[in-house]
Amino acid sequence: MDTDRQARLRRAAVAALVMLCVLSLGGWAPLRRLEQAPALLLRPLEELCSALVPARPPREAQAFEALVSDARLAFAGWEQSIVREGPPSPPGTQRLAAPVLARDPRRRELRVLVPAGVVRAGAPATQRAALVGFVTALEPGPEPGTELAVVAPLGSANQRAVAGEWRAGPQARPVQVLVGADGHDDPRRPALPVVARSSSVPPPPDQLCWTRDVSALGDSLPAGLLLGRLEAAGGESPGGAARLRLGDELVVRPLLDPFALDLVALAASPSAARVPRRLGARLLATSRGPATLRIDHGARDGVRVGDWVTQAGLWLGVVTDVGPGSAVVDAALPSTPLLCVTRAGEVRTVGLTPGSWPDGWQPARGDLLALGRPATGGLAVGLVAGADDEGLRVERLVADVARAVTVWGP
Amino acid sequence: MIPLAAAALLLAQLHAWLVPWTGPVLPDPFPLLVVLVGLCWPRASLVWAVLVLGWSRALGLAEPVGGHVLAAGAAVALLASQRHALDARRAGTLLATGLVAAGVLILAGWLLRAVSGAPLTAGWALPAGVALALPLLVPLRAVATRLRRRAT
Repeated sequence: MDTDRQARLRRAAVAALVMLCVLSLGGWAPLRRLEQAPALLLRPLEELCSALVPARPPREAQAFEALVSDARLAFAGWEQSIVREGPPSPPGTQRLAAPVLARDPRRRELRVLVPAGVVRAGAPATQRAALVGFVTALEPGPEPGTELAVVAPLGSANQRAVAGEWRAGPQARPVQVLVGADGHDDPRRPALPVVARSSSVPPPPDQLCWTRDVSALGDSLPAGLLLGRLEAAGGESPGGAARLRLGDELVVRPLLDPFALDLVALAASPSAARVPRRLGARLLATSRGPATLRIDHGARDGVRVGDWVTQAGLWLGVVTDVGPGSAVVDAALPSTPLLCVTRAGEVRTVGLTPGSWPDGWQPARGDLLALGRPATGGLAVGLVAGADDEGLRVERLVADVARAVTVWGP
Repeated sequence: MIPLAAAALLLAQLHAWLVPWTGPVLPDPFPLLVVLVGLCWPRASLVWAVLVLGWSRALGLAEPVGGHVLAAGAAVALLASQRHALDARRAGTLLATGLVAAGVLILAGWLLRAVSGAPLTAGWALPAGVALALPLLVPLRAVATRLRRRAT
């Protein structure tokens, strides 16, 4: 009986352990926090080994600083273009560059961090001269003095209609249209139905559609924002051209994928610049993997999941697990587009897949890859090691374990 | 249990510390620990030994604990099922079972990464680390003998 009971207990212990392991792999936050509790045990050997880590050689440090400077300049230019390009914002507001913190394609929502009280519901969200969507709600933000603006991209269900127009040439009469939303199509590439238009003249191929001035009707949406490209609703299916000639089934296809954006501009009241949360920490030299790092500060010190970790202008990763006295950083490349700075000084946004590169262009070996937020400025990520049909290969810039890092709130 | 945890943690930390200088194929002797636990550890506390092995390794690699415990558990379970026929004090047995343990760790790591998407390091460093059984044969034998005495 006793051995039977022991065997049953052992089987129950194994089952419970397997279940906890599955929860850990699934990312259950309380368990992941508990896993970091024994990180204190890393300290004895860490203190011995970290003293033996050599600093970066001076020549390498100089080259590194040049790359960081290029990344900063590239992001500063990119941020300015997002805010300044396009028509002026509605009276009494200015364009605020805000980072996208969360993306939910299923619910068609972006969550954008803004200072509290400066953005109102209904405000347009843009990137450069393109309309991305509208603010539908405001939620309390993750940091004191902030809010999360919930942005519904173009094509979301129940979205307001947008007044637009297109003209075939500079001397042509504008054709005015009213663009609606379907809510049931691909959230990344919606087809916005044209619910009304002032002429049945079919648009030329690749015709772009822009917002128009309807301030007389009380709509403060600026004119001149790009809505997208006009297409037949049937796309490339047979008879599409005939349907266009007959004046039926016209849709507007936005050119931007809203769920691939990391920075948008929102119409906001003027406000003082927000000071983001930041704290200093150190990387552990004896606790890291191929795609993970560990820092010596945790929940006790104010580190939170989602914080960025940087080192002297180098982007290291995002905090994924936080224990009482340490935190784990995921060093994998983010899924959002990166800024590619070519040797000629051009700056373009690229993703890791060829489909995200501008037509007829691809990153070249040695180009710098960068990203950033308004809070952190531009950050170097790595260099292009190669680009082909399979995608982008990146040579990451290596962190200097002998130096401190900075942990940034959003 | 404490010496096992200390050994697993120290090995993982040393490996993490040296890899940036030597490259990712630096031999990792973790499979040898798995062999000792699988062939010699008392059955009554085998589950806790697996937990300690996996947790220590995960701390050293800054990765989720669950994956490393499952991978170590799979390798230990396989070896423990054959312990009546294997003598861990022999060099040949250590090498052969070490390679089997490394293979199970790599396969389990690949499967768990594919299913969960969580990071789980298990690469060529593991079979390379089995070769350390030869220079470390004397201490490994001593530990195996001691463990077998406790188990019986």
